Amino acid sequence: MATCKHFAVPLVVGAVVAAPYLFGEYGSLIGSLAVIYSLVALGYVVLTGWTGDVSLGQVVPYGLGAYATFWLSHTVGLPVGLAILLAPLLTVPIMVLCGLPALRLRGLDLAIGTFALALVGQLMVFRSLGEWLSGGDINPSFARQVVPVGRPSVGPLALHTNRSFYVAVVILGGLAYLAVELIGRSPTGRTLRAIRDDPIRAQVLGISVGRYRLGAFVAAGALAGLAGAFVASLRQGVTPATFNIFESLNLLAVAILGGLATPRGALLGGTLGAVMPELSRFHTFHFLQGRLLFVYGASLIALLVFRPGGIASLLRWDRQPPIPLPHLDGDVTAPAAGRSGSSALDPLLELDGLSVAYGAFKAVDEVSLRIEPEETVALIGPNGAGKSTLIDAVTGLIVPQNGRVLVDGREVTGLPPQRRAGLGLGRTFQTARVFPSLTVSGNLVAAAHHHVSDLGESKRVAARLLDDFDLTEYAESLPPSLPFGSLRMLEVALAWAPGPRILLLDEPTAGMDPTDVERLAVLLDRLKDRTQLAILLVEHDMGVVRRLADRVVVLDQGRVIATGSPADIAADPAVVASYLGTSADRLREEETVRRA
Amino acid sequence: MDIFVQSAVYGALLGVGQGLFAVALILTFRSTGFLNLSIGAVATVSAYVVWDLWSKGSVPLAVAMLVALIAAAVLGLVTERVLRPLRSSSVVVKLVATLGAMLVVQFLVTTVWGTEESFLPLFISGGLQMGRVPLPWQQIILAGGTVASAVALQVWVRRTTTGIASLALAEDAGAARALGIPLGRVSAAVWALSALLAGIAGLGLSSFGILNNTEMTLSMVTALAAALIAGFENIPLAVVAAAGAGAFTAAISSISSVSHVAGLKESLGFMVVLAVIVLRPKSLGQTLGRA
Amino acid sequence: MSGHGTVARKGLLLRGFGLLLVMSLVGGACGSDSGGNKHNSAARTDAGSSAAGSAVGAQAPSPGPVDGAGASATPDTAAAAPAVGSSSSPVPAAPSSPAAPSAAPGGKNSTSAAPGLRAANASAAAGGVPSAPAASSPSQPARPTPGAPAAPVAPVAGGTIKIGGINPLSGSLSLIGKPAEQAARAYFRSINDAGGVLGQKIDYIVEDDANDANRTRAAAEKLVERDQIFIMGPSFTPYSPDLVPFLESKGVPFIGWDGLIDKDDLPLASPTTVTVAGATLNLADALFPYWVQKENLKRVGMFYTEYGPAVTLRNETRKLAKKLGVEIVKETPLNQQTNAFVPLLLDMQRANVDGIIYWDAADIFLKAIVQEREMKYKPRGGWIVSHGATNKLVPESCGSFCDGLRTPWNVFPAFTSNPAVDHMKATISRYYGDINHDLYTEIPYISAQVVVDLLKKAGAVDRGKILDAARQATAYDTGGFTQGPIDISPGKAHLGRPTIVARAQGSAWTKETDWLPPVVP
Repeated sequence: MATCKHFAVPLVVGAVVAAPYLFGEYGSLIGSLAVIYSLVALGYVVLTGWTGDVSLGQVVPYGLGAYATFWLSHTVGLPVGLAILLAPLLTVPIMVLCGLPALRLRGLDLAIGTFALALVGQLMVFRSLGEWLSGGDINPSFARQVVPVGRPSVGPLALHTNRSFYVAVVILGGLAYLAVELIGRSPTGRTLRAIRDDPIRAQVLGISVGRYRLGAFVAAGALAGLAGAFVASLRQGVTPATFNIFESLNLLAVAILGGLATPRGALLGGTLGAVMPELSRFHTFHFLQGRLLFVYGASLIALLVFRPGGIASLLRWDRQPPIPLPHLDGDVTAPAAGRSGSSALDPLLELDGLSVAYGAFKAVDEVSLRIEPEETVALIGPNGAGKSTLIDAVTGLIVPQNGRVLVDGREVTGLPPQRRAGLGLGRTFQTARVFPSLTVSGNLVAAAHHHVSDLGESKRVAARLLDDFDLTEYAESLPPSLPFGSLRMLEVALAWAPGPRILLLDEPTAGMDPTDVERLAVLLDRLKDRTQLAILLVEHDMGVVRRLADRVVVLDQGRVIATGSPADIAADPAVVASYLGTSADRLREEETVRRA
Repeated sequence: MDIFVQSAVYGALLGVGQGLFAVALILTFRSTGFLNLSIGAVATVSAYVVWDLWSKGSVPLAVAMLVALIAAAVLGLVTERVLRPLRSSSVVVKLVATLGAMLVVQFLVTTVWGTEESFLPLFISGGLQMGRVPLPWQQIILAGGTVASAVALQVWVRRTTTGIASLALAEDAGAARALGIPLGRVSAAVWALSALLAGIAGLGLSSFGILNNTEMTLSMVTALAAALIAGFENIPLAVVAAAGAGAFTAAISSISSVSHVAGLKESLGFMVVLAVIVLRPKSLGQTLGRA
Repeated sequence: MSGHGTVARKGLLLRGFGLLLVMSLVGGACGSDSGGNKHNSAARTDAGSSAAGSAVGAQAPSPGPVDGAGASATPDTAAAAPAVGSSSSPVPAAPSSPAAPSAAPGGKNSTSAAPGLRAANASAAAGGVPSAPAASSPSQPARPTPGAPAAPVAPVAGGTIKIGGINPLSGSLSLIGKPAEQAARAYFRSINDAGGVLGQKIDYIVEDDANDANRTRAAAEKLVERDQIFIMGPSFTPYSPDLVPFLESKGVPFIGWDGLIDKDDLPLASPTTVTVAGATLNLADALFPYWVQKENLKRVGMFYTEYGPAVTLRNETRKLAKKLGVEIVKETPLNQQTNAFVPLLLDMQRANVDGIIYWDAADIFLKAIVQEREMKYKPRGGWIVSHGATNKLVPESCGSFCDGLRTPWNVFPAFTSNPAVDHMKATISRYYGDINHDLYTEIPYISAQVVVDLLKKAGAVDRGKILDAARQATAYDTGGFTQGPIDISPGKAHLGRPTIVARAQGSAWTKETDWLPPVVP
């Protein structure tokens, strides 16, 4: 019911804020812990839920935040409140340092790497931090066990009761939560999800994957650092024993239970983490005591098997909100194109002696090629000829052994994929690569956003694309639910969204039925008419080739064996032979025999 | 210098035993894509069973060991069955799932045997003497067993059809199924074998004496490092790496100046892990052809 | 549904909740403040009255040989004379596994230091200031001035006295926490069965903290605020030092803190905290000189875990060694994760030490000694090891190789036998059968005894009076656990308690000396 929804959020906010009166000091302590754990869980949402990087080392910034608070308030002498606010900032440079090498890792490697990092922290760093940071006025053997931190003051009000501390923590934590929610709904959030879905696709669209991942790593660290600062002040002391690998895993576990896809899941998880152990103190829940391990373990497994999205997904909190797209107004203009101002003499794309070899096997062998603006070149050849490899090399996903790639006369051979996208290269893949966790319009906005001045403009581009590519009815659907033809269209739309000047299409019609093939052909024609788009088209369907291509280049075993117009190529015996797997001469013989 | 070398040899011997954990880890990873963190807990169960039957009770050692290993294998089977639905899930999900399994098995240990610390005496006392360094028979036998199983497994995986099939599962379950390979049975068998190896390692490594809930998981980290160095792929390399890690840590410990820095000795292993991961060209995902 | 109406409603809601927000901010900060102040001011008024009216129950123990210097001259009949106890010993390192996955190394605490050894202090802002407030921040409430106990808590209608306790009842430290709880509870039950104290029954409410510092604090808050405990009683949690400032600020006396007090811990000597345990230093101060002299040692090697109390022992040993002219040739820190001891021992061997010291951590010691036995390496003077190794596990598992291993006892440990210990075991087994006495059940038991005795002396369920009684308990009779009466008044360093040296012989511990006085470096 609509009215229910209106009341839900303010009710929850009110309840959360009024809680201190209901639960007293003890309850406020638990409430503060809930906020603290939620902050760490929020870090997991950003880093693991959205960006897809598993870090088992969140305890490191958590501990650093706590000790930073101690250092700032005790040794440096700042007021505690200020120390709490600054502590997360201190974690930033350290997390950047740790994050840079972590960028080379993904998936399980990253999990294990951060695991090892947490262990090193536990064994070497946290034990001695108290002593190192105490400035010498605390007995070293104590400082290694516990160091004191005070409670902050808000103006004249000292927050030494749990109730007042809770209110402060809820407010600050709430701000952090809102910030994360905003990020989630912003293009940045969509970009992060895109990176998790398909980092290669993202790179090719021009997204600096490394920078975003580092940003997520640091942001998660800052959130955990803030949590650490809070816990240091809440407990009025920092003990190194708190920051061990189990705590990291514990926090990850509750974050997963709550749900990693949405910030609200983090709130759930954090609350769970704070409340569950305390529940066992009360009669009805006494059975939990001593069985908490089992409950955690079993519920983790059950949840992962049945509902990996956590409780948040059970409650359907992870639905993506629709993106409001503007209505199209009449005339559709081209999306922002790539660089302009190039010399008219330079070809749009030039390959010069490009070679890619795997050991002794030459996948691409001394290929040279020039494509002019508005030209459509079809690249054909039997399977294994090296066509996809060639495209990979042109877009920067593979490093060639030899040769150069030039776009608009500029050499791009050393550049990473995301830079080349900015220079006007766009491509699709043999198996359609889109971002399955974003809606169709989300996909398009994400793709357009990185080349366009602002969100409004990228939404306009997305609206146009939806219309151009006949995807309007699927705007709020998720890609896996699309019919195959439309999925392919979506992929081409994605490639087109940044406004490239040359599109490299890798078998775009494979698996499509004739109606869809026709649709795509018509669309490509229209795009060519509107802009000076050049197309390099890898195709098997000769009908499409004849329809669209100005020129055909034939590749066999990595080498160019023929170029020419579609008609010429169709008749060339060498070409036919390569497809059939025989030699040209034998073909002629057979032809002669047949005629005879 | 002499002590350095002797320490290295001693450490290598210990390390090989821990390499058995690495082998167990590689088995489940290559066949089903799970990094099974619960095998430390499974090893603990084996050790506790032997302690309960043989040390506290009066069951003959061989029988006690047999029961212990059966228990380990059963645990492996049960875990595999429970986690089977997650076979095609992401890396995160699988990792956390095995964590959950580990929690449950540890809970099992505390429920059955309480949290009391116990002492499990050596099964075979005595050993070889290398200078001043004792090389206990128990460790030698465990090391020998590890090397033997590593070699046997490598042969099995490369040469026999079942072996190759079992590892095809991780590469492409769909294709494997299409080829008629009984996924369920094969992965169950692999997990049982992996758990069995973990059980053996648990028995062998219990010669450190202390038996409690978390002790065995300490050895896991060395095993993890060794498996990493082997790319979670090459079983004999994992054993060699474990031996190397053990030798390295032990030799370093014998250098006085190192032992002074708080926590350095123990952290060295993990720092090596970090370095290996970061500097290694091929990632684990690529081993399996998945990003 | 007109848009207008919805908008208006939304606006109202927002305003309403904004108001609520402001109210709660102000209220939350102010409301509890005044509550706290009320508490304190009442405390101060009471101090006046109770100081005047105290001195009830003349159970001031007879001025007997007080701890410290006097206790030295104990001849062989000392066997009958229970000696002064001290530290609750370091726990045999139980790597702790809290309510969290225990994947890899170390447990939460990652060390073996005992609950009792958490001598480190949250409030040790400037080492050496006795009643320094806990805060390095000005916003910390001032500690109740020494001698200003909190407001009296009237016992709940129905006549029970609520005594709180915090122990690790689950997780890996539960092997200590559970028997500790049972020991104290058994004593309280025996008192209740005999009619209670001051006409009322004792309700001992124990909360689990599962070795997690956040939960320790939560447990304390719950006990103080919701259960309205009269005092905090016997507690065996490693995070007791965090509790001390908290309980002080709430005006709740803490009787039965197992924490060790160290010379350096003087700031921890809180005026509202009573402990039976003595200083960590006593261990080294008695045993080390004795050992060195007995075995005529000139060069020793020292292993220690890098946790506060063991570091304290290390520092103390350094001073003692200098005083006694002994050279500490090697100092090697150890860790929960250390598995390969052979290299470390080879290093020791190479340095040609006469004896080896192991400070802290029984299970680390066990691992080391098993490997040392395989090496057949036994230094001429044998070893000394922390109190933590004194459970039966060590001599039993080490066998005759460990003959000559020495360890200190400061309170007659529960796994031995003497009239006091036997009586305790009988009492406990009445309610809980045969529990594990290897791990310091005597300390919580004695603490429970102290609670009841102080209550009797105070004559009323009055916090001020009970603290008065504590202040006067400078010669408290432990009933046979210690050499003589001990000084359990709050704020003392509990130094100088005599120690018995035990020696491993034939897979068991035997008493080697009577009560030795500590040598102060």
